[in-house]
Amino acid sequence: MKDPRNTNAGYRPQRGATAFLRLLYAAGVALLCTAVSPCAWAWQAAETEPVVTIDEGVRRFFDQEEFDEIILNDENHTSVRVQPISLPKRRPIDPTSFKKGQKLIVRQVEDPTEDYEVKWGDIAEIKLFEYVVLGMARDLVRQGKDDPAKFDEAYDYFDFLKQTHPNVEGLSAAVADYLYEDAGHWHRLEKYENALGLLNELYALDPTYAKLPAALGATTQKLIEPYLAADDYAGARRVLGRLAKKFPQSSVVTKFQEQWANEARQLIAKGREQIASGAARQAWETAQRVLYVWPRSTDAAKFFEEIYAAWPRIVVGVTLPWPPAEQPRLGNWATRRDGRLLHRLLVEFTGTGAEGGQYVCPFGQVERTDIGRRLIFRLKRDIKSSTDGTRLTGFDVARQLLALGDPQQPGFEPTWADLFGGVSVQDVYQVDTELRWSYVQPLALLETPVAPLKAGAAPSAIGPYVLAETKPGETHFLASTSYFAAEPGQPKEVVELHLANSADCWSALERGKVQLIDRLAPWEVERYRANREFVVGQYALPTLHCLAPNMERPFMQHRCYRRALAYGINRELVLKHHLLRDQPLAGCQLITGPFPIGNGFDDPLRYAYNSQVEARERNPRLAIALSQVALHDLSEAAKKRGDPEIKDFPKIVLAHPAGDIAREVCKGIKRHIEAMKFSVELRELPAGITVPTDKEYDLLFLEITAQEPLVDGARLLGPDGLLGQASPYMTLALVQLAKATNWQEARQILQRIHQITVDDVAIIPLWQMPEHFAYHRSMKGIDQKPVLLYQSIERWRGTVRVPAEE
Amino acid sequence: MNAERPLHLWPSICLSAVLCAVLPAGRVAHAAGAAPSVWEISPYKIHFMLAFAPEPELTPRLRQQVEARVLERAEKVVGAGWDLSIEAAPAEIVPGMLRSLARLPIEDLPAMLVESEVDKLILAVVRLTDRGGYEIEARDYDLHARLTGSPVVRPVPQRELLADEVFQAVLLAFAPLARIDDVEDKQVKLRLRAGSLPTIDPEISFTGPGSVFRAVRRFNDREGKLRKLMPIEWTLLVVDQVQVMEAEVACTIYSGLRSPLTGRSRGRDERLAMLVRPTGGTTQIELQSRMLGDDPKTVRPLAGYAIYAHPAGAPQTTLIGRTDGDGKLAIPADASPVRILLVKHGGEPLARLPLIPGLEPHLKVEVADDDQRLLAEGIINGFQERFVDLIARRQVAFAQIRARLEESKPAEAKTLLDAVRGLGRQEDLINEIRIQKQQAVSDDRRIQKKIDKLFDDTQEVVIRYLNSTEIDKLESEIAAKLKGG
Repeated sequence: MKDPRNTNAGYRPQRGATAFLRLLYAAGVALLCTAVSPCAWAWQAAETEPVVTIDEGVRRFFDQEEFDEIILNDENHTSVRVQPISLPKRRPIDPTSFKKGQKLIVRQVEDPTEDYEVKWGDIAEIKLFEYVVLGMARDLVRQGKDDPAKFDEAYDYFDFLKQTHPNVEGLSAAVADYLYEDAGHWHRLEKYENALGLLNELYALDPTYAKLPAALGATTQKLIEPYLAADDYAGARRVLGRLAKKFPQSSVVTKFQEQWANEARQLIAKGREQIASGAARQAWETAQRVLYVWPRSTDAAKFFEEIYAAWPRIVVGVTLPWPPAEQPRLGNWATRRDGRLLHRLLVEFTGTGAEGGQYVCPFGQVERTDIGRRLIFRLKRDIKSSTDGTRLTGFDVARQLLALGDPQQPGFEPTWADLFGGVSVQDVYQVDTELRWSYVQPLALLETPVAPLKAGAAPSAIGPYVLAETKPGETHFLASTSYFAAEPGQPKEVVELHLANSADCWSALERGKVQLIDRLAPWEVERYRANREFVVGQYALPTLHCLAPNMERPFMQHRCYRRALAYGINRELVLKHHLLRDQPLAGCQLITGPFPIGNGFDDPLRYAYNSQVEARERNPRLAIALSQVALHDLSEAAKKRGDPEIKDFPKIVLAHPAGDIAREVCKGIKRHIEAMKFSVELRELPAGITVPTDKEYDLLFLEITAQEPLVDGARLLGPDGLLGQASPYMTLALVQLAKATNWQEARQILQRIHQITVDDVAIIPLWQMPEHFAYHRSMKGIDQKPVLLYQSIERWRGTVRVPAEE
Repeated sequence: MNAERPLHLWPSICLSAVLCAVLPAGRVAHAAGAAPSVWEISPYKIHFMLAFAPEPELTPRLRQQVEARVLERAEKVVGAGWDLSIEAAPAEIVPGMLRSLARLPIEDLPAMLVESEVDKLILAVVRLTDRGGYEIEARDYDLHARLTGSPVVRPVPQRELLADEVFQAVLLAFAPLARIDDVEDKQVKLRLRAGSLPTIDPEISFTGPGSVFRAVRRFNDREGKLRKLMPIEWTLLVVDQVQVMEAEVACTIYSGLRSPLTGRSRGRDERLAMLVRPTGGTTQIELQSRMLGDDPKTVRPLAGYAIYAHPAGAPQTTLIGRTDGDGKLAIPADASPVRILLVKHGGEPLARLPLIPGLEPHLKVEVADDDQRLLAEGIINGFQERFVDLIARRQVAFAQIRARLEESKPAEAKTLLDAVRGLGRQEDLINEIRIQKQQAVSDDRRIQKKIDKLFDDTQEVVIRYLNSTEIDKLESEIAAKLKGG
């Protein structure tokens, strides 16, 4: 039995055997009660809480040596204390049920060495010790109604009996009464969570206790009230749910369920009015409220269908939210993903062909002529860029091409600046672009948004959606009314719901809270595939995971130190154990450089990969030796400068994006580096951020989408790239790559770049990771192997699902 | 004003008479034994030409007033140092003057002007601005050194101020000429033309510490006429100290050349220096490879070369940027007028170029095409890193083998030794170096020499550190242990 007194704030800890138990109980009840808040007992008025004290000095009845008491039927009703009488079953004895002459052999407490014989005919009554204790406990419970301190005393009696005489007849009933009465006492004091704890214990002891349903109902009601006052319906439902589980027919359960169902009905009526008045988007808010108030509403499903028909809306669960600050497209999943919603690019990557990426112009056609020295854009004439009817013209494209080569503009592309020879516009919609040499794939440089210039206004991007409100955990995109490629039935709104981890993703998709998950954790792919309700798709492009050293840190500037870290990490183990959880996943491979390895030798995506480069296998001894070289060099350099000697390695700060893929990887890497006696601190970046603007890290975990090594090489490894620094050898190779005029030459240089990356340890390459997404089978129109999630958003069609209650 | 009638500030007056009349006794004094030569006491013969933009407000009468004021002010402020006369600008240069003096080089002036007997031409232009004010531009064309000074542009809000402001512009545009008298290592002594003819206004000083001169060599014929002019490129002289009395200026030389100035001016070989004033703005440098032989096809832009800079006299360098695909990079002005540019490619410094950003809009720089060398350096560098790893692996393995021998586990030691043998052999590595060396070819012999050295040095390191001595020794020890049971 647990000690209910510990719910009392005035309770003082006691000495003795039960103290430890009480402590445990205190912890248990406290936990139980954290979910509920104080309220009031129903059937009696509240009292002022008395100060409950226990007189520690008083010796309790059961503390003495156990004895039974025989009351003789002589004139004086002499009482004899005897040692506990040995009976087949110790229960109250009726002396008259024995023959008068029959003898009972006992030993007196005062003289335990001698046996005494007492005739049953001489015995008026036998008081068995434990039953005396039980009787006293009951008395204390009765007294407790007036003096709550007695409840605490009673507890000790019951506890004694539970420990030493658990089979005493009537003990359970007595304890049940005690719990009930004590709960009543707490209820009167408006300590409803204490009362609930006791009533739950009573339920565990005797679920058929007659007065329990009413008492539990009253307490639950009191506990629900503050939740409702704070508009916390989920909390209120949780509390009521516990009662309903025990007593489904409880009037309290029925009352609240009816109340909430009624509220939901009113909300649905309001929502229907909103739909009728053309405010369907607001009706979604009302629908959310319906779910919040009463998810089991029978009308909800139909109501949701009505809203969806009026305002098709897709809710996508995303693992990386829309970044709060600008992030590089190469290294930020969300920027790439949502870019397709917000703006169409002048040319868009559609896949990898025999010679690099393949591109199309969504605004018309693009053609390469004059042995690759000229690009001609032929624009469609009906590309609206805004609601006022402004149309995209060749002048807008020409302006963008000029801006791309202007170092003062944000989207400056250095290779394009060199390559760009000039531009002219013919007949308003044809753009002729001169190139200064025949670059292998100039279109790869032109993945840039086109924003027509509007007099007196900021340029507006041409995209299917516009960014609406963003709030913590939620980003809303509204369909652009002037989008040139909009299709009938296209979702009018896309809501991105940030889900912090893979467990949340699964739960959200399963419960219908979201219709699609944009990125699956690799260890979850098979689980999703196994669910018939879900469809799993794979992106056309894998990501490459790597660690980018911060070259501003002195130790990171030392190549031996960077190599030491590379040798210190067991990449295979991290990949197989941490990311794949020892399950195979096709396309998942270790890499030695900055480019994708593809899915085999004939995979065109592999064109930049140098298979001759040897992988750095884990070698802790070599790692330690190399790190010592770095330490020695830096220490000597410090001495020469007159700086204090460097004796120890600094702590390594490993920064990583928020999300459980990065978290898992970095946890594994940390463990391996720490095995070399380095100290490692993990730094989780704010949600949405993958490349911090500060340089407060030594290593940064990067996930790069491997699209076109020809241009991604410079964007990652170039002096103005993601890493921010490049060795002269890398710079030279990138300059030569920019000048390459045929694919054979470009491939050779890219493979040299791969080798230089390894030699320089410009990054610590980890592995190539195929990326997957999953959606509910009710969704239609989603490409099975898209480059970008939203690349066919215009054709997405959904069926509304009413999210299930959590 | 009558354009035909030249106005002479100093008609035919004897020089000595001028000196006696104009200079106060104390200021004529020269250091004992350092008698002034003709150079220091010869005033500049200057023709001043003023052009007005064709605007109704800019009347001929106004021009006359301005010219007269300039003459008057020159006489009162500068004094004996200038023999200034007003001349009408030849009609053929007026459009160029009105367009921009900054874009009017000395080469575009008519030969009769350039070959005239005067020392300097100071051209000035007055234009109207969009805001209703005036803009004056003036520039000094030194006909003796055939160099141009920095153009000066001054806005003038009011017509009444125009005449004085034109004179101020002339004063600012004027760039004194000096003779290079003595060169000792990095120190140069200049002697200023008319330096012994101090200005009347003592506040006016045409040069001081920090001023910058650029140098030119003038070769004359017997009659003192110009035979050849040789600008000394990438060389600037920064003034450390000015000895007014001796007309002597001590400078530090900053040059991209090894020996830009040797000897001193003598006879027909004049070494001259003219003051240049920083104008702010940027200079775009264009890096290109040196021509090999006479083949212009061997000249190509050098892209990706790093340009660092430090102020003259301060060693702290900063990276300005890398040349773009055309070998170009804009060099902005800095707090210090002279920036010393360092052209680097990888670890290799290729050129050291002093520059006043903005003075010229565009400069071509020829340096060795270093791409092949850097490529080879990258290969060697990667090779060396792998070699370090290999040596470290071997050392770790040797330590493990020794430990096994000490623990009397010769069989395990033998297994480890066999593994060490598989790590990399000297012959294989040397062969790899040879193959790479054969592929690293440059047309430039100097560059090829550097490339060969890189590979040869690396080969030497491999021979020195990757030999079988240690392996043989351990093998014997293992064999002995195995025999011994």
